[in-house]
Amino acid sequence: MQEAIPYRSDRLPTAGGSAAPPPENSNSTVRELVAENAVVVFARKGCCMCHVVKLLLHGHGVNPTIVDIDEQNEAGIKNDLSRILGGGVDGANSGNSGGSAAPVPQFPAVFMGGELFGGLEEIMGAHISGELVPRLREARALWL
Amino acid sequence: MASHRFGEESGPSHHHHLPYALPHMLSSNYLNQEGSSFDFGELEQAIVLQGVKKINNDHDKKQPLIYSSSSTARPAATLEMFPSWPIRFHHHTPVGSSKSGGGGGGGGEESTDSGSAANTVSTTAPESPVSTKPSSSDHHQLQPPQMDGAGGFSQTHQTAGRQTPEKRREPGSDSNKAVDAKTLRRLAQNREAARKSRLRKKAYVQQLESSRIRLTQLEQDLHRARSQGIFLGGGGVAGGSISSGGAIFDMEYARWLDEDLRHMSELRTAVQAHLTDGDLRVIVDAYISHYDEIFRLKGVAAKSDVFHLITGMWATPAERCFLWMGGFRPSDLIKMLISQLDPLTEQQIMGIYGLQQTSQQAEDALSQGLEQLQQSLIDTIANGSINDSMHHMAVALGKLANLEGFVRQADNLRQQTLHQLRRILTVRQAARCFLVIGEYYGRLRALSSLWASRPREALQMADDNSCQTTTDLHMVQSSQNQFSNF
Repeated sequence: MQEAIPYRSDRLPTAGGSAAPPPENSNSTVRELVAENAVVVFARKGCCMCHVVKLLLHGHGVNPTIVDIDEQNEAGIKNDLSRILGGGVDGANSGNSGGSAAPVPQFPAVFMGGELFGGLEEIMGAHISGELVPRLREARALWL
Repeated sequence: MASHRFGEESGPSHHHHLPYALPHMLSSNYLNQEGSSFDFGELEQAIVLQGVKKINNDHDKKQPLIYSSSSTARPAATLEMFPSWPIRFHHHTPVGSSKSGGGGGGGGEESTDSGSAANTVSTTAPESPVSTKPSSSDHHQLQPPQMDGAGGFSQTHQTAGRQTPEKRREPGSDSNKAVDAKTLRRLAQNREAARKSRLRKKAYVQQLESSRIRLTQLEQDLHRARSQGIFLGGGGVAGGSISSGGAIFDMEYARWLDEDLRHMSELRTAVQAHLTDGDLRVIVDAYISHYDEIFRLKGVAAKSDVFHLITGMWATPAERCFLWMGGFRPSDLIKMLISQLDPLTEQQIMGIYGLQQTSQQAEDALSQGLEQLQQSLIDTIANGSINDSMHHMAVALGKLANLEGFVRQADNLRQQTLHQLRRILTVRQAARCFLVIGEYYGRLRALSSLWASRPREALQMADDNSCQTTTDLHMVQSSQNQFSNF
């Protein structure tokens, strides 16, 4: 299986599609991960749905960055993610953001090109409808 | 007392109708009278009827009687009923039973005519001196009274003389004692038979009782499932064999099938009527929503009873055979359709093949994910130690909960495949395509019911024109030719 070369080769390695070390409970690391990697999958450790997502993405030649979630960092990551999703651009907003509370994403959660793409359902739908490949290309996860 | 016993003995499988009637008479007379007035006529009847019984028992070999040539244990068992009788009683009355059997057999047919019984007695009488000769034969037997005739009396007179008399019935004459022996033996046999028939009856009644209980339970389950199906709001107690969620889904699925038929006929008339594309589109889109509806219902059912969906208990057996993750396999459906949707443009062909490929990939991914779940579940269940078994069970339960997700994703895949199909095809093609799909599953369901009602002997239904479901058969046959890819 060909390995996708990450956009920023000087950053976190995604070679081999191995899991990135679980980020500390800091907003920035999660944000960094999401921003700097074409495809990031947040999934609970050993989750079989995540396995399915991985397989589907591998089938397209994509090696996503997998962030393993376990009991320790789950709350933190959920916080960070919802802040990313619902909060303002800057991470200065704590607690209430301007609009409605951001939804906590279901795991596995796939981020593509810095944005939340969805869960397995959305990946599957895009896969069938043929939208997945263009989106992957947009996110620079695919070159061909 | 004797009458009571005999009354119960009408059960056993031997032909004992006759012997019981007359011994009844005999014994009741016998027991009631302590006096010596003894009725030889009745005795003769009893003797003959004993012979009848003996022959029948020889035939049956069900009750190893004291008269049978094979058993030696039985005499002891019977004699145990009369502990006051010394054992050596039966040593002195061995008889060539075969001979006597032959002799008694001549007149030993069951006859309700006591006159003929008397006749047979007279015919067997001459034989008794012969029969008493092989007295030293190997079988220790009690003397069958049927061979006695006159000679037998003499023998029993000898033996009876050595007996300690039975206190209960002490007639003055020796012949009475001989009769006592025979009668008591007979009574003993009757008791045995009665006991056996009582036990059989008891077993039968117990069987009936348990069947009745099972029947009431089944009825209760059925009522519960029906009532919970009707009152959809009931999220109550799960029934016995089918959960409430499962029952509800089954009911809704049945309704969906009826709707499906309606949609199909509408599609058929629409295609044949050559409606405009706009009108046809409305009908086609309605059919797609119809499928969306069943996927939604399955999603609801997956929350309450995922096993009902996964095991396919809502589907017919033939459908169940092709079941994948609680429903049809999208790539199989596409494969089937490729051959049926003939006039396709190049682009459409590419699209359809692409759809087949992507759905295959998605199916593989889901199947592998499910396999991983199964492996993980196996490990959890197997590795639970006694100390933290509850924890392991909780973990296993959590993993099992993922099944719902898989069925949900599989249904999502099916739904997406159908939608994509709609996008690839034109309205008219889509209408025909859905007609083909509906027809295909209709035939599959018909196959199930035909299979269920097939004659067990042979698969000759293809040639059997007298079969009522001939039209269905033709349909099935043609479908088998058409869908031979599968």
